Amino acid sequence: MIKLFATTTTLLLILLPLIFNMQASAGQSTIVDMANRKVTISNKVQRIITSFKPATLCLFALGLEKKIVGIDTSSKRDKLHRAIMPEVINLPGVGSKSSGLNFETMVSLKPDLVILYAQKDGIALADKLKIMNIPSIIILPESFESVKTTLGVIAMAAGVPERAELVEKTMDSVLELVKKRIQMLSIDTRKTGYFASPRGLFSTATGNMLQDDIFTRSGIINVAHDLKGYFQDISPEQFIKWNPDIIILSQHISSRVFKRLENPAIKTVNAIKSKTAYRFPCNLAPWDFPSPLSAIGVLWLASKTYPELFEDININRKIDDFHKTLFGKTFTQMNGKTDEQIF
Amino acid sequence: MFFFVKGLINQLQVLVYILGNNKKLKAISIYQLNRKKTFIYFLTGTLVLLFFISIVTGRVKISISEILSIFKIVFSGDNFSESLTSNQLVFWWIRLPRCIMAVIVGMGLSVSGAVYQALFRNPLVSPDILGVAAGCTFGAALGLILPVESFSLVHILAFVFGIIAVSMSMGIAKLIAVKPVIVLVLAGMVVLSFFNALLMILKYFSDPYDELPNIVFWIMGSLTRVTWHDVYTALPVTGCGLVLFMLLRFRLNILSLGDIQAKSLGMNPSIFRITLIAASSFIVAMTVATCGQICWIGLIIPHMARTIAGPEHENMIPVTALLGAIFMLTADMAARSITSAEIPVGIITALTGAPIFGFLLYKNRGSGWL
Repeated sequence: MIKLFATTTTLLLILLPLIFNMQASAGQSTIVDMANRKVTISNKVQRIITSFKPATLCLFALGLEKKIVGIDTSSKRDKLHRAIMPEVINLPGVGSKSSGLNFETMVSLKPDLVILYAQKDGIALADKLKIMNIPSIIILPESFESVKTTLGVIAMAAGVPERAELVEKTMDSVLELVKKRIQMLSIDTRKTGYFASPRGLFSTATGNMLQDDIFTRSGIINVAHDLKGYFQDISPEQFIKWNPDIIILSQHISSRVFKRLENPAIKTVNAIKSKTAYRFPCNLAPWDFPSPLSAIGVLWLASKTYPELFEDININRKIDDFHKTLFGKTFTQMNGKTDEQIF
Repeated sequence: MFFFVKGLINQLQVLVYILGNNKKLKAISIYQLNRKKTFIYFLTGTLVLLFFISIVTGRVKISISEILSIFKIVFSGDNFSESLTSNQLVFWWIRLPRCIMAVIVGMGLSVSGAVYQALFRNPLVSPDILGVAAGCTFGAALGLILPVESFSLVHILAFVFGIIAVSMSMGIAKLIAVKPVIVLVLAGMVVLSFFNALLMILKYFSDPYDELPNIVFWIMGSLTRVTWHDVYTALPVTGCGLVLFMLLRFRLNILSLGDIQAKSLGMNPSIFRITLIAASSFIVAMTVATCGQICWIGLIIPHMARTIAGPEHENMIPVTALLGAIFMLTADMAARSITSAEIPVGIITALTGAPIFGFLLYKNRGSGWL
């Protein structure tokens, strides 16, 4: 009963501002996006352009993949997207957040809705699209709460708010399960962890990042929690000084870094000695990334770090169920693998 | 230590002399005071002292007694890896190779810069003028996105493309064969632009979440990746190059006068130019292949050395090498020790190098130095 109340309250808190900001008019509604911009959108959105991977993952989780007419180029190659909708490879690529979007391609696709990022030229692009009478929304998924808000904003814009509720509920049920188990641990028995970013072994996630949140929710103390900003480089000496109990390598990291773990000085670190260095799964789409999949990442990480707390739970089944609810296919059906062990 | 103390006393004497003769301040240089050798001793002593400070400074506290015991174990022939404590392993496998590499990189880049400036008779020339750094960077980026996951491949491709870039520059210059020095610089710019364009194509087509961060991280200059293997590879190349420069430093004086004067003095400028460019390029390619691009060292250190030791390469080359090593060692020590996050060494070299270079330009205005 308490869980139901908490879930409903959270959903209301997220959705109420959006509901109140909607102004009904003939076939149109106005929503406020995550950059606090008021955007008027057609009630029948049929053609969506997505410009970066977290947005694309959210669209797929919301079941809106059939409405995508233009996609960020790198997402076309993603195994998860191809497993859900093989024809994604034939969609026109509009560029990427890092190398820039092709404005003319986007306009030529005649979208009803463009989903843009808050960083770099995202807001400037949104202003240009407004001149062309093309509605666009800015999203900023960087934490669990902002991922949920992102889902709410996209779902509201695309006219499928009930789907966002389902995805959020699925995420919350997984996070709640982990939270209950982790609560059994006392503070002094919690393990310390280090996250190696896609940039390399000595580049780590700071206290401002989603990965820090994933660690905290998994009952792990991020050794780099006090660092601020985006991924920060550290020296090998600092890494040894932190001496983490567990090392988590980003799914995107190159396998070349494994060789660095063979350095005799690095081998003195607890995580290497106890062979608790893992690569964040999975082969379909990373779980250490701002998307609904990060919830399943928390479950996986907590079960790896404190296996004794999750002995009674079939983790693989949970992963399968999660994917089935969000994407209509189980993890196993999509040939998902979690080959995470480094040693 | 004796040389360092001797040098320090001499420098204090120079300082007292300068302070006591304020009106002659501009006219005085250490070179003019005929204290060239003692100044080199002073710099050598400073480098040794700084190296010592550098190996005892870092995020992990390692005492001097621990360091001494490491060397005792090394020289006793005991089972090395089993005998060392955690701190000692950090010292031996991480800090020491890094400090040695900082010295190698500092010496290599700065002397290469000095040689290039002499050969091209242009004070704005730096070691990457012939596209060597751009070629290396492209090679490394290519190695990073190829399906073969090998660190050696990245190093090899970086080195090979660096040498290809220099060969292209020299080949283009030879084809044109008019005003060789200017044409060589222009050919270098062509090759530099070409490899930069290739790098941009690689970055454009690389995965923004997977390959691109890897490329960006690699390109950013850092000594974090240094291992003993890198030291063993870079040391012979840089060492041989430095010895060659020391042996030919007198020829550099003649080459810097121009081809006509060199020929009139019985020298074949083309042969010496090719030899010196090839040696410098090898050093730069090796450095970039190991540590990525480290800016400013090759440009400002030769200028600093010229201000201190004068334009004659007999003294200027060793002073450049020592100053380069001191600068790089200090920058790297700051990069890895100031905060728990490592500051990219390129930021430190640029932040300190830019104002120093600006000051040198101001100080030497109208002196005929530029």
